[in-house]
Amino acid sequence: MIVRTDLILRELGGDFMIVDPSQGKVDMSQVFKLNHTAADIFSHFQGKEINTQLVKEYVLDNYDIAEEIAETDCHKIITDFLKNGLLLDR
Amino acid sequence: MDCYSTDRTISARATLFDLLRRGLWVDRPQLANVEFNKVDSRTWEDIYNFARKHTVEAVVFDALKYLPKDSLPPECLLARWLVQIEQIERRNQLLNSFIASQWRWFLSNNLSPLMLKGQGVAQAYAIPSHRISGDIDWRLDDLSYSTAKKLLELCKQDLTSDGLASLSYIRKGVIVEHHKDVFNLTNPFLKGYLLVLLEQSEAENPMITIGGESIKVLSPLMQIVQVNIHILKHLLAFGVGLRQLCDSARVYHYYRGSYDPGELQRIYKRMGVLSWTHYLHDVLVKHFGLLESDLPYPVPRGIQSEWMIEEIWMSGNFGYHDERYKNGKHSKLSVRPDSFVRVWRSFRQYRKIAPMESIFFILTRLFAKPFHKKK
Repeated sequence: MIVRTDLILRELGGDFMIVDPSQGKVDMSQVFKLNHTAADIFSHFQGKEINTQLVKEYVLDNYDIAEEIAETDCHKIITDFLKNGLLLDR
Repeated sequence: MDCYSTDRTISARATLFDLLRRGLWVDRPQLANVEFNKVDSRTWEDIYNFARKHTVEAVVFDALKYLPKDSLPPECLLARWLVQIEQIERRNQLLNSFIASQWRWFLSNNLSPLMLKGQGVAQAYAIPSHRISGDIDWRLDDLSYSTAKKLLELCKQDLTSDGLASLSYIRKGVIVEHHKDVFNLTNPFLKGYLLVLLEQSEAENPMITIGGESIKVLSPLMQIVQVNIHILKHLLAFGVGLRQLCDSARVYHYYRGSYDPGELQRIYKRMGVLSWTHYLHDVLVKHFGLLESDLPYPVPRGIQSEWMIEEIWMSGNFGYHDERYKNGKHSKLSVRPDSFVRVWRSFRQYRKIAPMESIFFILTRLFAKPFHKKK
């Protein structure tokens, strides 16, 4: 899976938002809010291969976090990305 | 107190102008550090609605990026705004592809078009995709114009024409206009002069990249004249929105150093609109944040342009949403209510600072054949 390249991550007042225009008609249901870490992961992996292991490695390299917590958090982030259609099967 | 001047409206208007200046000049970062006065959620709603009325919501949005979190609009409005921005960006992307395909069509038929306004002017913006474009305007010489018309008729394209110098049609949901003339001046005595002017500047017409194609646009000098004359045309009719003024400010800034300011002044004088440009320039500096150093010549002392910005504020985008006339009478002159009253009012306002154009504009409005559908 890769992180979609047609989505724009926008920062407003420290919050991060993405609008998914792929359904043709854009409406409120396609607005996603991301926290700082999720936004960082989104930008880092945009257009690249993504899975829990890769995200975990990235998070451990860049954040001060215990491995078990990273594992759980990264899995959750990937699930959220998937659920919200931010990822694409390659 | 009427509905146009409540405290909330006044606050919304002041904040909108503040944000507009910040958004229009995101390439001038020092503006981002200017203190911002917080407003409540209802005022934010007003700001958003005013910005949409004047088709500057994407430019205003650009200013939001620099506001602290506690000064931002409520989240639900922010999300709505963001959706709108996404739509504007997508439409501009589609327009650019469409322009490129039209350009290829023209060239494949040996036609020589020149793109006017629209996406060409957008290049002068710090964020071109945040300028809201309406239709696509092409200028074609006489031969290209008639050939294009015949080709479109052969394709059974439904055309609307003024019978003389302009035609329009809708293709893939986009309104396209072909024009023989570049400038919207109605003064017939300027016809020859304008043609010479265009011929002289032809060699300086640059090519800009849109949708992957190199597309010819007006020279910097002619682009500035065209944008501003277009504003005057609409001021003489039903009004313009803040977006058209943003165009003017941005082209003055963008083309600074690429044209001869003395020549521009001479052109305005010959067109009989020099006095009017002083008011326009005053508005651009006072309300749109244009630096005086970006103006081609200084604004004379004593110019009071407040009445003009009031008109622009009230009329909005081409006067379609002018609250003052929402209950007015309809006539054959225009789809807008109270059209004659409005054109007459404009005539009275501009007759002293753009006299010839004001007179010929109203004469043209009264006696010209209205647009008709070509069978």
